[in-house]
Amino acid sequence: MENLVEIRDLTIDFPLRAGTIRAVNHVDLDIPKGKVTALVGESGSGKSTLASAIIGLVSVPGKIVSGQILYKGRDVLKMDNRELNKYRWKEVSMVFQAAQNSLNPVMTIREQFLETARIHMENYDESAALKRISELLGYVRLEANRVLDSYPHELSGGMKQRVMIAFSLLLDPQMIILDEPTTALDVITQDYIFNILKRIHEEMGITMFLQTHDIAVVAKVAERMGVMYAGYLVEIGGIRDMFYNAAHPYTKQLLQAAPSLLDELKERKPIMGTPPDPYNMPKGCPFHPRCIHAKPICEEQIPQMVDVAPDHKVMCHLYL
Amino acid sequence: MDKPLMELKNVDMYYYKKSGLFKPKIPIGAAVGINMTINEGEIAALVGESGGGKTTIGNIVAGLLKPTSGEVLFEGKNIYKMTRAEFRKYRHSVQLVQQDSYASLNPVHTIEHSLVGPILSRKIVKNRKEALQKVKEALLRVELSPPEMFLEKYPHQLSGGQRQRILMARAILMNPKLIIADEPVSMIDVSLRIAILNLMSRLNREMNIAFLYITHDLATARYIAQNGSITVLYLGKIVETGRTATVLERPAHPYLQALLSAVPVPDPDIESRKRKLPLKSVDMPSVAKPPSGCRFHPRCPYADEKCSIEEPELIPFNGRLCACHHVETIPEWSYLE
Repeated sequence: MENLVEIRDLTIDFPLRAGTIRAVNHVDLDIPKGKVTALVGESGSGKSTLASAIIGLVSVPGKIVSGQILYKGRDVLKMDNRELNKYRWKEVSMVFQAAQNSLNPVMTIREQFLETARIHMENYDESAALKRISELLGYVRLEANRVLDSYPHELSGGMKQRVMIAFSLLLDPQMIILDEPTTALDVITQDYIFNILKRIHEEMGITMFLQTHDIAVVAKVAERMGVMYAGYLVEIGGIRDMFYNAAHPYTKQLLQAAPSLLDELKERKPIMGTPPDPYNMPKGCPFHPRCIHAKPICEEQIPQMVDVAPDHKVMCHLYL
Repeated sequence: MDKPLMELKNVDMYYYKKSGLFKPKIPIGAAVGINMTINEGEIAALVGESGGGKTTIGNIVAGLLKPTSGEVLFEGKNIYKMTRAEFRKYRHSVQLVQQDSYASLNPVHTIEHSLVGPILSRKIVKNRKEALQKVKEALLRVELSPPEMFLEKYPHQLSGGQRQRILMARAILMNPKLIIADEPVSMIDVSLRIAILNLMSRLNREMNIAFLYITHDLATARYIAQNGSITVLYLGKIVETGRTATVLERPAHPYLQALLSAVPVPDPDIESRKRKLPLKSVDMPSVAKPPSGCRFHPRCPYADEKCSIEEPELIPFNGRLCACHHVETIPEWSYLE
């Protein structure tokens, strides 16, 4: 399996007035080429910060303290602005959380598309660009003629999100990062958008990297799943291994806590306690205060990532 | 025998939107022809997507919105024809817990201040000492222990789940018969959602408080209202209603079938075998301009001419009520292919 992105020992800090928050903590993560990899975690677990770092964007005042992000062997963190401009959109594009708000409210969709095309496309030609844009809008099942002349406020949330997905495909990227792409959208629209994304993935072979808090969405679209907790990647593996052979106590409990339409209602159990205070992280394993299997060593030492099966890693003392 | 606690009878709620300086205002039917009963001690779920009218109905039940027409009955009495004392009693008996727990608490008041104030001013307790005792009991009931630890805190010092528990405590302090919970878990982390739902079930069992659980999330509605009822809304109208187990086992209305097909299931093997319902259009029409006839007909795979002309009534079908002209003939639906 060839990796498109290899993240090594990545640590991102946010120095704030009340103290420093470590949003991403020594994370190693591979994103294999041509697969859908999903990252699951609750709010504040660091999944969005990690994803933004892949396109060289960490919001102020975040600082990358250590590590490398290798895209086809090149370190994204060492790229200069000119290199980054070539890398973003052409190699890796990103659909942001509430991407509906990423559109400029005073420009028509046509103007916004053409602006992006003019800046990023080599040998820019307006009619060719428009043809490509119409094709892409058709691909996400929007009527190009109608949508191109609309302003963002004339489109529904689901339509705007589909425009953003078409945008992300404009320069034929190798990979799309999708950060909670369906938050704030209705269930039927969400389902429709994921079906479109699945088709894009299958037909174009694009690598996808999805961040979500909804484990059910992961079951629908992903081939690999990683779980983040308090800035740590605590487990990663193939989708069936993760759902049917979860190793980390947090992953197991997360699966048990997700209400479903098709299950025994009695089997649902909440996870006790609350996520740790980012200013005041517990010593040892970040999950130990909530873990039913915690041993004395869990309070002392941060566990190492170990293999429990081929391509299935977990960060937990139970497996050391 | 089930005893009705709150009833809505032919309730319509219209908002009026300005269309221009000299043009007439356009009526928007946020809730139309709503008939609904919440029984004593029952958990009723009200589900629908945005624009369905669920929050409007919640606010009507809470007495915050007066419907354009129709009756709102509490224990058989029209709340808008009550004496002052009766209305006061109704207001105490029906409490509302909203989605945004941060916005529902005054940020410059301590939790003690926010909880003691209402029961003192409404004379539910005689004095401050008794009030404090009551508040501590309520905090224990919502599993915030030790209560002393939370009394001194300000809302921003608590997590979303803890704030939502504080709101539950504030509601039960009024000795309510019904709590309307409007999307109480949608802003809470996934790992904590089940705990809040379990808390609501416990308050229902132990204190016999009825709940109206308003949500867009069918999975949590199924979880909390498993022994209660469910009402499904589409563009301001009820499309299907009945016992949760009956309705969700064999959904009859094509909209509910589509909604259920769209909810992802946290199991990759089941997810790959799940049934799809081909809708004619994904985009929901605007509430301001609802389609003629059955409001779902432009998207419905089973719609014919009749559906675009005649509005369907809620009729009994297989142990529930369903508003669909073709309910008898559309194929039976199941989750898996």
